[in-house]
Amino acid sequence: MRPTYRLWLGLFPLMLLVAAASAVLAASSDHESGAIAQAIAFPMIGLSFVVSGLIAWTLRPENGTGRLLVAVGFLWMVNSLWEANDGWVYGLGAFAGSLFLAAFVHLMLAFPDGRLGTTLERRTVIAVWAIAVIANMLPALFTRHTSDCDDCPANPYLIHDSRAAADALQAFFAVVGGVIFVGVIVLLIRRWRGATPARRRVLGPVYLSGGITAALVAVLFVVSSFSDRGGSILGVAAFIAFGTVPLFFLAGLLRDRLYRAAARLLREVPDEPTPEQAQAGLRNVLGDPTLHFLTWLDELDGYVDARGNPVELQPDTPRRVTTRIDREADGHPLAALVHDAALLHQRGLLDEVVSAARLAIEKDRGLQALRRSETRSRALLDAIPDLMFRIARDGTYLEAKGRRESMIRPTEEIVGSNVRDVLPPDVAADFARALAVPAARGVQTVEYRLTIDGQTRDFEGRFVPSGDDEVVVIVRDFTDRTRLEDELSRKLATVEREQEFTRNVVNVAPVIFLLADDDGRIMRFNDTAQELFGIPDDERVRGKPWWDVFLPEEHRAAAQAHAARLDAGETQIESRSEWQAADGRRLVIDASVRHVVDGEGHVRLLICGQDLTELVGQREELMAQRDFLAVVARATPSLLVAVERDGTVAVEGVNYAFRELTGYTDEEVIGARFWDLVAPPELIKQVRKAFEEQVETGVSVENETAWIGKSGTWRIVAWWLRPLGAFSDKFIVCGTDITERKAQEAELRASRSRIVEAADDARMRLERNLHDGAQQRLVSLSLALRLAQARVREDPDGAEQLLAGAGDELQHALAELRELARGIHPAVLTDRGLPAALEALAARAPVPVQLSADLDDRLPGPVEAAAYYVVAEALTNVAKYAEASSVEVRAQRQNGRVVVEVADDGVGGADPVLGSGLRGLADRVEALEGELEVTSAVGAGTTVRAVIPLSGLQERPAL
Amino acid sequence: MPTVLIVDDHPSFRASARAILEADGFEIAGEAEDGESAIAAAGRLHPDVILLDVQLPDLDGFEVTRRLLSIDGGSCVVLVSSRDGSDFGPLVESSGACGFVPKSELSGDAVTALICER
Repeated sequence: MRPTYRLWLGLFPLMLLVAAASAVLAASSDHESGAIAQAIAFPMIGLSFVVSGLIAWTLRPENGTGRLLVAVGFLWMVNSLWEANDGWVYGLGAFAGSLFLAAFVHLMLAFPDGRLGTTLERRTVIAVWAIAVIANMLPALFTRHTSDCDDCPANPYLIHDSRAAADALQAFFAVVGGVIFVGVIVLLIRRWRGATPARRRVLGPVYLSGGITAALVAVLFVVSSFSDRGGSILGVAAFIAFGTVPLFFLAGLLRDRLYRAAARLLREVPDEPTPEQAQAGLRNVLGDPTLHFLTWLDELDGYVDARGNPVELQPDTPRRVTTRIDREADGHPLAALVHDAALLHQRGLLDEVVSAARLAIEKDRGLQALRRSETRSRALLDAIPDLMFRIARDGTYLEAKGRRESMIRPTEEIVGSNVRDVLPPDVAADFARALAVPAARGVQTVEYRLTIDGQTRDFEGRFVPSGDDEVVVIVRDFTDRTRLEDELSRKLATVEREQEFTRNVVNVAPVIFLLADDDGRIMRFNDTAQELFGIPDDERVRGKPWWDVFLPEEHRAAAQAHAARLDAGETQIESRSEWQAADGRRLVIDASVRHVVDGEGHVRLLICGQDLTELVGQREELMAQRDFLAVVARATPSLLVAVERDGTVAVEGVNYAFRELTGYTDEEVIGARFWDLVAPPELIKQVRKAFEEQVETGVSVENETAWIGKSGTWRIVAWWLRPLGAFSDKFIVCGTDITERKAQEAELRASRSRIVEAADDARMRLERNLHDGAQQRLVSLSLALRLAQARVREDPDGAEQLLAGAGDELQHALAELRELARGIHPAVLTDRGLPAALEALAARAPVPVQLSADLDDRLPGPVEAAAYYVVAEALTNVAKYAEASSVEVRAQRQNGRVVVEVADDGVGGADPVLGSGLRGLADRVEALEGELEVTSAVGAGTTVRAVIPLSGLQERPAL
Repeated sequence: MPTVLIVDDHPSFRASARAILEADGFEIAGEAEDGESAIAAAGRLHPDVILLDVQLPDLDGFEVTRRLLSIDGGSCVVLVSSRDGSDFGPLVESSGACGFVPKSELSGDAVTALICER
């Protein structure tokens, strides 16, 4: 069952019951003067409101107006309790007497929407309802008679009979009610003033009837106070007026309903609806959920449904009918509604909706066409990178469009301003002239310059008349183009300079540039190539294969193959070969051949070459030097170690001599600290300090340090540091093994010491011999002579004897002196040479001597002396110790040396450590870089052999 | 007649000195050829004069002088040498000897002069 039916079923019988009750109460009232009139008025007015309300409720169930009309009707009829004769019922009527007025005010303020629009209206209505309840109830609790009516029943709800309290309360609520009444009036006036004309048409009758009723009530209050009859007449009139009020409400509401159908349609359907949205809106407005909305498509020449499917219109049936919506002007179909046939009974509504739909569809189509056209225009305008202005003939900007950076001011500031206010005076004047030119003269052009954000920009404006009143100005910003042109010129100049530079570089660079076509035929080559090969770049060589011009016979085939390899996909071919100059010289050239594309897009061969002739020569020389140095480093007895600054042995390692001396290999030493490697533990600090000082100061200082090899062998090494060279941060430790030299030096020092000692010994011996020998004899001789002198007179015989003894003594002294002199240096050696001196020695020797002195020329003095003393000492020793029977003495030259040998056949077994005599001789021989050797096996005799070199000593010339 | 002990390792000098001193009136008490025997002879003979060679095979004359004087201060030690007296510097004077006479200048007078100086 539909809700409206339940409404009627429920409320209509209730209405009749209440109306009947109110009529009975009024008619039977014993305190109502116009009982019959009231018995008619109460139910009639009540029914008028309730029935109107039910109709409105049924037709506009969503609208509260119907409900409010019903409420006013029922509350009005409840008012008839006032007429009851029973005190309790009468009292209730007194309590509820003003409620219908509150409902009426509510109705007035809610009409025609049926709900209160603003918060102020809602608060006002709440206040009205509160006052309506309280203003009647409170005073009724304090007065025995709730009205001035004496016949009225006594008030059973009386709490305390206080006329003053009741009056005070009534006066208070009268004031409050008056204020609210004024407020309601103000609100109604505001609603009227805020209403649209269409709404005023709805509100007008209602406000008029309500106003008349209110005026009648006001007059009734005034008149009834002094004329009962007048009051009664006015009361009837007021009742009648009040009874017509709901009819005006109902009329206004139904009028509004028709108006609202179209409005709802527009309201419920969004702008630019989809067909489905339109269909949903129409279903809602027309209350037909089965409705189909069909749209006419010109392209299809037919209708489509909301989902776009083509639909054929079906003939009408008793249940389903089609209402077409055609264009009014020419009857061209726009759309169609397929709906329930029952809607035909609401023809007005249907027509209203069809009209609204037609209007909307036509508008929509027109708008769509306009929009498409505008969109196209806008797209066109947006696509133009220029500025666009619409300017009225008087110079007022109507529209502006374009990039902000090209605008002298923001768009919103420009629009509405005049060109005189926006542009500099001279530009504005040009604009004004162009704007003033009549449309018939066509497009005007103005070029101008503006400074925008500190930047100068150039523009060209084209003034296109658009109607009589305005001109469209299309402005092109030339700034970027001008800047681009400037930049282009600058770049061109740069390119030209670079070309010139490149040309110079190509000609000046020490590189051969040779350009050939892709068959290898010479096109041109640079100055360097011309000078290097002595071949001028002219017609004689151009067009010839480049290999025929620059390469010797044997390399031409290989070069020719390069072109083929490049064609096969190789990007670049590098080669080093000999080229040939015009004069036949061969040059070593490092060349690369590659394809290049020239300015005209042709593939060319670019041959770049570098003359390495000199470099190759230098390299070979360097390699030879390197080899030489490597050999030297290997062959030198110097110890060489390459080290880093921190003392680590560098990768270059050590040389052969170092490896030999220390026993280390390169692998063992590289990376190790130099001092850790060679220094004995107790000397590591010292060696490191010496190393670091040399690195620090850069001064080489020779250090003598013991080095210890891998096997623990010690050697004394003099070493120092040298930087490896200007191109390296490394150093070379250079060392010399001086162990032998040190031993020799020690031996030399000992030898010198012995020579000095020997000389001292010889002098002591000489002094002793002189003192003990010749000197003593001479002293005795002197004493003997003095004794003889004293005796010569007294004892001539004694004196003679003394003198004879003195003569003998003198002979002895002479002999001793001679021997002594010979011991100091044999005169015969000086005078007669070595063979004669040796013969003298042999002659004096106590052992038989066999002498063989095979020396033709005189020898250097020191050699003769050394040889002499060797033989003399040896013969002395033979005499003293050898117990020999014979001695063989030989002296001869051999290979620039003198060899002297004394061999006896004695007992041998001489001490291998030379005695002091022989040691002195050995020193003498070694001082002459000779050698002395003693061989003395037990029982095999003793051989003393001296070998003394003659070289380096100037031989004494023969006498 | 003063007695003399002649100390020298050269027999030829001892003979010459005996002859010269005896000729000059001295009595030769004895002869010695080295330092040790000279000290022993002096202890035994107590000569008035000891003619002592500076250079002896075992001890030098100055050492012998020191030891002789420490045993018996009565003898006059006269040092002789074939060298010149200046060769010995202050040694002669500090040795406690009566004096020095070069061998080549030996005479009874020279010895007497030294005894008298004492």
